[in-house]
Amino acid sequence: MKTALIRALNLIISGNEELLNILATTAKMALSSSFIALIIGVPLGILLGCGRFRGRESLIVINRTLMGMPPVVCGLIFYMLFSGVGPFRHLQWMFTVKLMILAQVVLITPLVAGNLESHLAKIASPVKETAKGLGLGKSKTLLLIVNESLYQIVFTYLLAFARAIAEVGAISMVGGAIAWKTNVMTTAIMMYTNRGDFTLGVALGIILIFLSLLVNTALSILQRRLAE
Amino acid sequence: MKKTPALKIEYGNRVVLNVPQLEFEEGKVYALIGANGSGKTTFGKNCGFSYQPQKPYAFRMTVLKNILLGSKDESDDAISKAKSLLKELKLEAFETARADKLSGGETAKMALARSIMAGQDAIVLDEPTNSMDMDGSILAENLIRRYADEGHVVVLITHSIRQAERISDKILFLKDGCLNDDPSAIKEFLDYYA
Repeated sequence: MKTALIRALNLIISGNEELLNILATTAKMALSSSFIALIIGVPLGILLGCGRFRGRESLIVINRTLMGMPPVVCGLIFYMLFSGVGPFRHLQWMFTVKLMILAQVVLITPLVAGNLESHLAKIASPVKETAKGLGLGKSKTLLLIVNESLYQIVFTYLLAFARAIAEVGAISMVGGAIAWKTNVMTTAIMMYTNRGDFTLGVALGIILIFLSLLVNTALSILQRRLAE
Repeated sequence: MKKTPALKIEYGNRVVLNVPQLEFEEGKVYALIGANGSGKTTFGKNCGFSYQPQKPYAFRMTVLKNILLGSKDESDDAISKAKSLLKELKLEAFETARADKLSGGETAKMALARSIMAGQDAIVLDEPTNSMDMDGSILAENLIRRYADEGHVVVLITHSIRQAERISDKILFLKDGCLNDDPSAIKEFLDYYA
């Protein structure tokens, strides 16, 4: 284990080409999917948290159910839709980073929306009541709500990114963990461990834990700011 | 004259408010009194006037910015008016402080200044001095009185009979969701809480 650790550190320091490729693919996938999830999830969260319309409660229940969707189920659905027998096979997205991003967006968006919805459930009513009393219009009220939720939105983005970077079930099914193409940190760790080649796996594990530490530090700071 | 619509509001089978159309004269303060659950807040929220809630929300920004939310713009005039309101309520030291960090009484003063800044023709203030100390209450009452004198309608929901008598031109008494004009009922209520 000690040897594997030393070799892994050497790999990181020397900037191994395959390692860099895996890191680049991971960054492309996790940043894209978490950003798209934020773009879709924030308006959805605002709608669920602030809107008053028929079917809202049902939508909240559906969203909460999707928040707990097992990644492999998500991967299975996309596999069935995009593989050789699926209705979207002509797009030829199977085993591409594009489809990995799409699968992650489906996994992460409910998380973003749900997190924001539960935050807004607490503040939307008093903000709207105060804004109405001051004679502010709908757009200004919405801006105030967003302004009151800025830290929460950043917090939610970091959560989404953390989920994206650590996810393995869905992306291994739709991405196939193809070296130099769709292999990301989590799938590569699995692949190399299965082969008995621990060096690259340990190197990736160190980087993954370091990234997780960075994200969690940022989350802790934000949580403190939110509580202040 | 400002008119409120006739209001009949029910929760389930229970009628919580049943008042006819009312007329309010500009330049006057109307105190709305009544026991808990008599329908005062329900009236305030539904009468169509600008309503300042019992627990006003302090936005995560400076006190001055909060007050300027009531203004149409952030012009020099608006800023100077906001600052004079702060001074009048002895809040000038908190101008750049975060509003969501203020104490209950300070938040109540800030919210009152914000409502006055909005300059709505008719406002309902729901127990605006509830969490203020005696000095703060007096400053707030003076501001409320002056706002009415400038030609606005102020409906003041209060549990303080003394406050109602001090600054209002007319006392409205709500009982079980209905306005009670019977002088003996009002006197009985006033005597009970005096």
